[in-house]
Amino acid sequence: MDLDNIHHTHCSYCINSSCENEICIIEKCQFCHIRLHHCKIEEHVAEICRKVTVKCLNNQFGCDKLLCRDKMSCHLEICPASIVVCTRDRSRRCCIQSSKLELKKLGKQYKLNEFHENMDFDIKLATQDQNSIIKSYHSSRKMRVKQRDPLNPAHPLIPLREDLFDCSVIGREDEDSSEDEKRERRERIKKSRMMFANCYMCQIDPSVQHLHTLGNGSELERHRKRRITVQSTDPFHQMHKLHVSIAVENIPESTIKGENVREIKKGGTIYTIKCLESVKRKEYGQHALSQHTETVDQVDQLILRCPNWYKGCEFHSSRIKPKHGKILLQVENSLITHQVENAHLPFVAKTSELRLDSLPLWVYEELSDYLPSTSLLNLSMVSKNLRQNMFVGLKNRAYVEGSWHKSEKNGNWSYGSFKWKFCKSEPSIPMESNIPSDLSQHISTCEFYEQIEHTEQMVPIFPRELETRIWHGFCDFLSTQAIRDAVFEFE
Amino acid sequence: MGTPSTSRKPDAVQVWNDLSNGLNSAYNREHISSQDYMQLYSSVYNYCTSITLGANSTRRPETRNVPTPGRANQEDTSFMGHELYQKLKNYVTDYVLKVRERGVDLTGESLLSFYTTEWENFRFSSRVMNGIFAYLNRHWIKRELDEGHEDIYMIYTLALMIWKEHMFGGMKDKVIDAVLELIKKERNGDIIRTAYISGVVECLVELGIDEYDAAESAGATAASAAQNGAPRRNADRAKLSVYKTEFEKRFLEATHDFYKLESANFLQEEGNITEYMLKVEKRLQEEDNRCQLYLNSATSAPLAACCEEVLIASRLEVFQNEFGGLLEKNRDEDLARMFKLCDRVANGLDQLRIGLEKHITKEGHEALARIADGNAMDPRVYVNTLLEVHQRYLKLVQQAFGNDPGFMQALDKAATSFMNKNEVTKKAPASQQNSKSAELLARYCDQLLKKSSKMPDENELEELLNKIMIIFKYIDDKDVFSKHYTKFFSKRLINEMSASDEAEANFIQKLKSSCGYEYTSRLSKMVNDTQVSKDLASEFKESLSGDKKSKMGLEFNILVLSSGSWPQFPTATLNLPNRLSSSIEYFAEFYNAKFNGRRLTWVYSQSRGELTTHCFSKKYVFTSTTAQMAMLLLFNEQDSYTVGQLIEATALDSKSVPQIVASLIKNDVLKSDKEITGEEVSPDTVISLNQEYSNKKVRVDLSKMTIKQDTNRENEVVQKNVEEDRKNVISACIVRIMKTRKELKHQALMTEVIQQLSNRFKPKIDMIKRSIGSMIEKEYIARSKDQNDLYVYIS
Amino acid sequence: MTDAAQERSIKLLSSDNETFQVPRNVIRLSNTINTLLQDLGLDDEEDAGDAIPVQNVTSTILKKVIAWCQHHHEDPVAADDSDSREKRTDDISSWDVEFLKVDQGTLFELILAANYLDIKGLLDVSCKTVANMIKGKSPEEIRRTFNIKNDFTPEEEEQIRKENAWCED
Repeated sequence: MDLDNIHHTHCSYCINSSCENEICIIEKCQFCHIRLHHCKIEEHVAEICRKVTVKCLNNQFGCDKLLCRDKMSCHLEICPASIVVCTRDRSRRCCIQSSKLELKKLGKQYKLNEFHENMDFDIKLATQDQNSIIKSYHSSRKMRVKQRDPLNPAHPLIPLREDLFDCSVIGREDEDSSEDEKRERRERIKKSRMMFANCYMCQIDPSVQHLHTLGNGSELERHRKRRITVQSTDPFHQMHKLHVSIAVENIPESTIKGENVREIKKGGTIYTIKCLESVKRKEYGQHALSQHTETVDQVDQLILRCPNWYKGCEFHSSRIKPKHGKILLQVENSLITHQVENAHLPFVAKTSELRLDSLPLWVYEELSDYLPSTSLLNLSMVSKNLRQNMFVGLKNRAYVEGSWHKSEKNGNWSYGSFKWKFCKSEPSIPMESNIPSDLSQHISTCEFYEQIEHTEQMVPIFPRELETRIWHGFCDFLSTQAIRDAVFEFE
Repeated sequence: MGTPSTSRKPDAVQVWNDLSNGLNSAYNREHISSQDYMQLYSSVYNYCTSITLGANSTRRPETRNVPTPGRANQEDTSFMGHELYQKLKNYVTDYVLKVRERGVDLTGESLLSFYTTEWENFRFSSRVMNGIFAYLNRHWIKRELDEGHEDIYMIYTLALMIWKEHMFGGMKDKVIDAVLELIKKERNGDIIRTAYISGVVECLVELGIDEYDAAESAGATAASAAQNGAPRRNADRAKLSVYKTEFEKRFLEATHDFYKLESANFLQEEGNITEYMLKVEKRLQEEDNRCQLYLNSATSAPLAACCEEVLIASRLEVFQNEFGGLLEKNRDEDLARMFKLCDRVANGLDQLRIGLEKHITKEGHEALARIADGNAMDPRVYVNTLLEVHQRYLKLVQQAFGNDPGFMQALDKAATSFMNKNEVTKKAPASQQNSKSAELLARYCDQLLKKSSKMPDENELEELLNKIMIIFKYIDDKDVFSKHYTKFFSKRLINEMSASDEAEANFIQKLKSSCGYEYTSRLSKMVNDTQVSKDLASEFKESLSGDKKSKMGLEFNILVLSSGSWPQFPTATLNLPNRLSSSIEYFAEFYNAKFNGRRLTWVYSQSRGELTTHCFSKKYVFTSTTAQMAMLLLFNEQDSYTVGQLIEATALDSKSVPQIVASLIKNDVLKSDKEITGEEVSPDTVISLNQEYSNKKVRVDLSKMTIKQDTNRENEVVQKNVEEDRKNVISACIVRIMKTRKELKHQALMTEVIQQLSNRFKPKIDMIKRSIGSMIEKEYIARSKDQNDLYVYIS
Repeated sequence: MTDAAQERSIKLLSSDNETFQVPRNVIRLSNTINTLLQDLGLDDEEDAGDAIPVQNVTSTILKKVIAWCQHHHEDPVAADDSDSREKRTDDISSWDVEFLKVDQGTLFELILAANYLDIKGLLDVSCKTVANMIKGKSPEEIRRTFNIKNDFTPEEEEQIRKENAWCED
């Protein structure tokens, strides 16, 4: 130990690469060839040396690459383990008040809507969202309640978190969870007499500065005249079996309710659906554009419906559209992709043995330069061979996520196995604007218009001189009357 | 060549067998047909592309390798590529070692021939191999480099690396020795096979490149973009690193030794500088050729430097000693050569310049000494001699020394020294010694510009004037020249003796461009006056109305001189005869009417007149001075006078009358009853007109005889004037300097004054001191109280 | 290339023993052939010499490759920016689009041939075409387009549909 101290005392200050010290001689690092004291070399190689091959910094997150330290920074940009989670969300509103009940019923039976070929994009999207909502109702109410948070106080965020311990899918067979809700509400109203019982913002975050809503709902309940009008969904939604509105909203429930206008609350439940996809850091931009901003957020411009849509008119045009190809929603992967048109070549069996799934690996490597991650994802689902090629051959395009396991012994969570997946990102879709002149054409001839007849009451029209005579006569009369009155006053 | 395996999944051993067979034939320089080539290429290609992750394979390819240290668990491709690369590396290493075996015992020329042929073969074969393994280069190796494994090289680079390590490393000393031997032989005059040397040099250059190939291709990736700048620049320099360290260094050493020996031998034996110089030139040329021919051009600069150092720099003394001798013998060619050689070496020319200066000075002095005995004071001879010496050495500097500024400077210095102080000037009286040159030059100008029988034509004149200007540049006392020239010029103007006005104007222009406006202002004003006078005269003539003119009855020409510009003329009183004086009155009237407030002073000494004689047998026309005229006109009244009477009548002083009388007597116009000896004429000598006067010519010029050119006195006068002027100039200069500087030390003041006046003349130290003293008296400046040599300006 | 060289033609021999005469400046697009000619010093020779065997490529494919090179032999050499991953697929010239309207087998063969002969342009454009055929298609559509058999068992398929992940232990 004393000897070490002597080394380090001198060497810790000595940076002379041709130091003549005999105790600790200058050596060359075998990798990067710089000259160091002998005692420093070990540490140098272990921590700093640029040419030493080390494991990727994200090794504990699943990346198993070995590379030189000086290439590390470039690798980290595209490391499979550097991922982010997308937090974009959208909201769907129930059509009418009874939709919620309907959805709950469907959820209990786990009855999902079907998809046809050639469904319009917005209808397909709405159907997909509805299915997610129905799935979320296929769980016990207890679990749903547990997953509420101040931002989503009514219905938890969809997709629901998996709860490993929830065995009971549905509570009691005969009862609807809606009954539960009503019960709760009545109790709540009865209990609270507090002044600020109904102040919504207090419930979310008491510390935030806001104006309280005074009163509590119990009195109002009594005073409210329940005029129950039977509500029914409009024909369009009925046609497509949608209980949620086809319009995509982006304002979370908490913001609306924060406005504290109770009337809005009457509109019904709002469901929030969040993306929660893991995406490679470098591809996040593309994911956000292709999956959210350019498609879902613009769906009302992509599909511009005739104003009579709620009556059932199916016609639609568009204000913007992709320059070529079309935008598709792949439901099984919940992916939005851009399909290039007229790209189909015939397959003739005899010309060669080569098929897409039996090519040498280097071909896939070449192709992968031109394919976005969504295509790789799709390819990996085509056949076993392709799956192998994608996940093993093109591993650098995939991302890796660890899954957490709870140990049974002491309940500690730890990283279990690593899963490799492909991200759902595509390059931005080139769009162009379109003038919906066909819509204007259609509107004039749309058959869903209710004819409203405007009839004009007949107004007698006199010939001109008669009119003038009448008018003059009238004026005379008025003036004589006025003179008379004036005279009268005088006297 | 084994049968190629056409299955898409070839097995490694088989592939390698095929390849090694192919490589064998490549390296044995057997003819490789395009079929064989494509065969091999296809083997490599098929092997490398045979990776398919089929559905039947397990998720992990079965050949998952045993991890080698530092290498990652990567796909099959990577592993296969690595294996192939390794096998290839081993193969080439074996081959190179075998080659080395064969050549281990060779030396000298045979070694070189062996080495160069083997190198050529190896290069060719490696290139072919590179082509065959092109697919490996393209993919696997590129990928490795991208990942930063810098010990993987492209195939061709790998081959070069192996050659360098094993073959070159082992044999380099012997090879370089052999090369140097060959070069030495060539220097000694033998003919050698330069192909060997150029082969070796190319090999060295190429070996230098390979180390940085990897860095360059890795540098192409974005990863090391930041480092990109440095490796690239280093790469260019590094390309020749092997060449430089292995060969160039030793080559330069050998050259150095060789030439040191040679020059020592040569100078010992023969010692003739001309021969030596010729030899040096030849050698330098030879070395340059050698470099261009079969060495790398990067060597030419250090090689030239080395040779120059040995052959010239170390022998500089010899050169310098011989330089003087060559100058003596006027060996221009040799001088030029010496100049060129010494130019290459730093500081080679300094001594030569000094030598040249000394020599020119000596030559100049000698030349002037020669003429000093003879016609010392003849300006033409003097100027021509000066010019001769100057021209000769100017030509020498221009031609042999290539107008080198240092040599020009030496010439100038030497010229300045011998033109101002030489044998001729020494002959002059003491006070005038410094300015004798200036005076002679002025005289020469006068000679040229005067009307004379032999007039040089325009171009000649121009040339001569230019030459005068050259000498003028070197004259120290330019103001003396100015004074003399002004004097001569005024004479010429007054007597209308200038050959051509244009030439005068031309010369004044040259002076102006050389010395500035101030210098020539007076001369210009003088010319101006002449012009104005001409106009004035014609005006005067016109203004005379009829009867006045007839009253005058004579032609009257006026020259009005502004007193500042013209030199001083002696004024003398003179009684003019009536006819003359009335003209003068008329003119005075006219002039005063024209210009108010100007005073006219009549300078009779310079005036001339023409007399028509009716008294002699022939009609003569005499040109005479006014004084003479006055005297002669007296004889219109009487035939004879005594001298005393003449004195009275003319109101001249008693010294000048006898002079004039004597001159007229000499001319035979007058005669006296007594003998006239020299200048002495007694007042009662009777002078009478010579009735028998005859002359061949009708026009006789009497004026020339009168005033003897007492040059010496004149010069003294001029000198005194110059001195006076100088004093004033120095004083003005001192005051000017002090005004700007406010405070100045004595020494600094002296230097300033000398510097400012260097253009005009060289002031003497004590003159300056005296001026300073007078300035202090006049209270322009004062000595500072605390410091004795500090002067302070008093405003 | 001197004019004389332009007139030169090189003989290529396909794997099924058919010979093709190709002008020198057309075949220069193939780096492999280029390197061969340079390395073996065949560039300086006047006559075409022996045929160069191209053993991985059949005659039909070789014909097409030569046709492509013929059309593109005047193209300027593109700067090497292969490291930038902004690879677009919508910039295929119309001639190339027409040229590549072949059946899939031929297309894949062209890719292989282009890689073998190291003709970057052809490789790029054929890969782009294949990529365009794949982009945006669901797995079922891909199977249909490329006539690929679905060899997953139903359980596997279910698993994949639920979560398309690849586990490594």
